[in-house]
Amino acid sequence: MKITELIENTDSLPPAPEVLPKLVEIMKDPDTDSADIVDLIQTDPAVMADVLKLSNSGAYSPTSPVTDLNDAVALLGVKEVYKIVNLVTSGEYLDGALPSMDIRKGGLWEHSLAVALVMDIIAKDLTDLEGLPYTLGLLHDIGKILLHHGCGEDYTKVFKIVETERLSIEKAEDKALGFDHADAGATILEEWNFAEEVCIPIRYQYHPQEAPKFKELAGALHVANWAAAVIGCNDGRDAWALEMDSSVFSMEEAALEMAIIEAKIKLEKAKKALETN
Amino acid sequence: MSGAPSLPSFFQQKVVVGVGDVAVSNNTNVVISTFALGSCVGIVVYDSAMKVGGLIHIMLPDSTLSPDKAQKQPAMFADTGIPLMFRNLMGLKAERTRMKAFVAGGASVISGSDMFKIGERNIAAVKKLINTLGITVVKADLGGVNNRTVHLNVGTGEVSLKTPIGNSKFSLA
Repeated sequence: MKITELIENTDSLPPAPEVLPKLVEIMKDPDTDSADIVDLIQTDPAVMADVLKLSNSGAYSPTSPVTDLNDAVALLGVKEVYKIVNLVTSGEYLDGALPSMDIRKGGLWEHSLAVALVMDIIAKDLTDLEGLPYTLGLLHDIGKILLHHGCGEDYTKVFKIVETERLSIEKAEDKALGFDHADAGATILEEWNFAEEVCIPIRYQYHPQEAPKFKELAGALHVANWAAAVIGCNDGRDAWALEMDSSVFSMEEAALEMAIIEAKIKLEKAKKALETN
Repeated sequence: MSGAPSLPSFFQQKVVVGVGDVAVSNNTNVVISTFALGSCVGIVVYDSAMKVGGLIHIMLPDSTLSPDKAQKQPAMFADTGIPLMFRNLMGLKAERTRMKAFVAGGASVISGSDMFKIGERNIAAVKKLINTLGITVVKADLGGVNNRTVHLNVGTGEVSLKTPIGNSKFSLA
């Protein structure tokens, strides 16, 4: 099977997101102001409604109700509104269960949010594009959804390879299918017109040293994926079948463990706020 | 009355232990559970004479990383959490000599530097502390590449262990 066939055959995914790829793009422009962001979000009423709903949730507890996007940006700031668009968009894709991978409903989204929160801490100095580490975390595993829908129970072959040959998940996927979930994810993100700052680190998250650009971001994503597992957010069979490479991005052990603790606290707060939303 | 729940299951209460948390109980209707034990290590302890049990879900081996965090959430670290759990168990009249323990978790990556082998470091820290306290470990399920879920029935001492590749049940009574 080829990735393109996999994507063509996947009609069970929600339609391509319109707002988020454009939002990433306009955030790259230093002349972008809050009015540009509001104008863009307003083009999608569903996203706008979700942004307003989350802006009024316990996660932000605004002093007065947020009734329009201008209020949201004024009260919460551009970066928080950007994060909310990321959350509501990714939730559309990531919330479902992936039984072929033993991932429960909500498990992939929780994992992705944990990776986003770790990225926000460990990768914030690696890019001028504020919010990019968070986006990378939330979207890094989107390829798993394609593999689940495209392969179904056939995905068990991957686990058999992991368990008999002691290979990492992405190597086993590559052996069974000819590509891995990082390739599949990056390919669909390219098709959805996401910037290369998003697609390249996601494609190279398991072998960051091979990334033609944004190596350190790919390396940080590699580490953040593992860190999310440490705080108990890595659902699925053979979830620890990872081969870790710290040659591109490295941190002091103590600093990394502190980042993990900080992300865990932020995740608990975010989950509480989302549950009560 | 076929299909009706039996009395114990009707009154059964569930206590969920999160990452870096601990619970002990002498309520025989309680089932203590923890989910998603990955590199974390879980210790289940039971004193069948008193029907007292406890479960801790440790995330990191050593509290010297952050004494401040250890004070707020001692069960996050092996060296502060394990003594706390045993103090709490003894507060419910459990006796150290009668306690039986099951240890699970400590999953680890296939390869990588020591920094990424938190599971192995957690296992080493837990083994050392359990030995120092002189607790009998009757069963362990450690390492590997899978997450684990553990339940302890405080009324019976029965433990169930679930992983994506299989389930098992045994008793600590």
